[in-house]
Amino acid sequence: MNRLETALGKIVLKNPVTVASGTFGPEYGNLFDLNRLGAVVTKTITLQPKEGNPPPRLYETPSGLLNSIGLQNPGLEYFVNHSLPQYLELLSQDGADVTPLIVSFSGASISEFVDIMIRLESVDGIAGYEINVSCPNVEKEGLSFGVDARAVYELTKELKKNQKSMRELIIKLSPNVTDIVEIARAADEGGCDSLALINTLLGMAIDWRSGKVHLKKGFGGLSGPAIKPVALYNVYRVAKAIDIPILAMGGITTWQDALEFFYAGARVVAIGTANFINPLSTIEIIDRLEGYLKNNSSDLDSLIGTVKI
Amino acid sequence: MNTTKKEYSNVQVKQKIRLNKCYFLLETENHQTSPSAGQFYLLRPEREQNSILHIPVSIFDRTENELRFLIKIVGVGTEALGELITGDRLKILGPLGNGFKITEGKKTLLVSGGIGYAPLYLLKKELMYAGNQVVCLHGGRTTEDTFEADLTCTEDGSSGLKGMVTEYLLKFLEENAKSREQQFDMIYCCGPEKMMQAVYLLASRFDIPVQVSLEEYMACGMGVCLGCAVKVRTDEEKKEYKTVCNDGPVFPANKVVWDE
Repeated sequence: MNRLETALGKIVLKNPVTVASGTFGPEYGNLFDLNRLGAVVTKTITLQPKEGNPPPRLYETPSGLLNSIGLQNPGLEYFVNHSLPQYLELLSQDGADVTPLIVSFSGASISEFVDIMIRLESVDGIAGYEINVSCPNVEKEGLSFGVDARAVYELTKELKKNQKSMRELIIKLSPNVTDIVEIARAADEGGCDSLALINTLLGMAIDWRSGKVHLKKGFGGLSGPAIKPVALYNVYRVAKAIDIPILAMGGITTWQDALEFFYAGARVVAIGTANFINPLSTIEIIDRLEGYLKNNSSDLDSLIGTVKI
Repeated sequence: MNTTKKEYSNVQVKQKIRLNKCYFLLETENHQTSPSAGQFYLLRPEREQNSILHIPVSIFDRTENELRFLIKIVGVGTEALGELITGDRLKILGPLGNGFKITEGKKTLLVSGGIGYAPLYLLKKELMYAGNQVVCLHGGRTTEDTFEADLTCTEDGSSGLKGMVTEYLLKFLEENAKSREQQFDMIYCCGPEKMMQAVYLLASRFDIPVQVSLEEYMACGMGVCLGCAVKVRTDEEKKEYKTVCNDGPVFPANKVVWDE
C-alpha cells in the first residue's frame, strides 16, 4: 500500500512532494534520482528569451530569501528543443512509474499565454501547465495579471478554450492581493483544473549603512520559512471556499511543515527555497512523511483538509 | 548542463586555525573529491538552524583526505563558520564551478587582494606542477589582510610596501615589457571587483590575458536558480547573464562586462 499516493486533479502522483518553479532544475539529477519526486515543475518559460534582472539578485533576510531573478530563461523554443528532452531523459515515463512533468510558463498578454500553450500542446511528455500570472500584463498598463480577478478569469477561459489535451491546467496565485479567494474563484470560474499557491510576497531590503537597496532592482519576491504562516492561511482560506485541488508552496522546509499544509487542504506540496537550505530536502521530506504515516497507521488522503478549528 | 555526479556530504571539521581577528583556516575531511584551483564548495554548519544560504568558499588547499579553506569573516554566515571547532559537522556540496585554466611552461603572474588570496594558493601549486614560472603579488588594507607573496603591499603601509597592489603591478609590467622573454604570458587574479577590473585594464595595455575569479550572492550553486548572475560577452559579442556558480567562478577578464 502506498500511503503517500495523491492526485492533483487528473495527475496521479506516487507521493505528494514536488518542487516550486524557479528553484529546481535537471541539475539536481546529479544529486539524487529525480524519480523520487512526486512530480517536477520547471522554471517559468516565456515566449521569447528573457535576459533577467541585473545583479545582485539575491538577498537573505531573517528566515527568508529575497530574489529578483526576473524570469531569466532561454525562451520557449529552446525549452522545447533542449530543456524538455533533458528532463524527459531523467524522468521515468514508464506506465507504472511515471514522474509527471509540469511546465510553468508566463506571458505578457493573453494571446502570448495561449501561443505558448499551443506550442507545448504539440510536444509529448508534459502532464500539466502551471500558469505564472505574477507578471505585468502589457494590455493593462503593466498591472500584474495575478492581482486582477477579471484578467485571471479571461486568461483561464482562453487557455481552457484553446486546450486540446487533457493536461492539468493549474493557475498559480499571487499573495500580493487584497483577497486571494476572489482571484481563486475567478480562476475556478474560468475553468482551471487546480490552483497553486502561493507565489512570493513582494519585499525589499535596504543597507542601513549606505542607504542603498540590496537588490539591484530595489525589490523582489520573498520566500522561505518567513512566509510559511502566510501561505498556510491562504491555502486554508482557498481550500475552505472552493472545492478544487491545491498545490501548496510557501516556506515548506520540513516534513512537519508539509503535514500542516495537508491539514489546511493541500493535495500536493512544493518545496522551493528549502532546496537551497538543503538540496536533499525533498527526498528527506518524502521519507519522513512516509515514516510518520506508517507509524500512525494512517494515509495522506484521510488527513487532507481536516484541520481542527 | 554540467552532468558530473555531485554529493551533498556531511564532513567533520578536523581543525580550525585562527590567523587573526578576521581570517581563519578551516580544515575538514574530504570525501573523495578532487577540486582544482578556482573551484569552490557550498558550506553550512550542520547545527545551523536559521540561515537559508550556504556560504560559497573556494578551495585553498587539499590532500586526498583533507580540504582546506581560507575564510574571512565578513557577515553572519562566515562568522558561523568561524565558530566551528574540531569535531563539529559541516554540510558540504562540491566541488562546484569551473576553476582556472592552467597554462604549461609559461611565465605567470598571480595578483590577489585581501581574501582573494584564497584560490591562488592552490593555483600556484598547480601552475608550478605544470612547469610554469610563478610570481605572486598581494595587496591588503592592513597587515591582517596580507599573506605570503613575492611582493606584498598594504594600503596603510603597516606591512610590506605602502600602496595599492595595482600601482606595483604597473611598475612590474612596465619593467618586464622591456624584453619579450621577460613579459608574463598569463595573469591570474582574485580580489575586490574594482581591483580585478583595474588589473584587467593594466594587463590589456601589455596584451597579457587575465583570468579572474568572481563572487556573487549564491543560492543553489549548480546553475539552477540564476541568482548569481554576471554579465559577460559571448563569442558572438552579445552580452548575456551567466552564472558565477556554474559558468564561473573563473572567467577570462576580457569577457566580463565590468561596468554594469
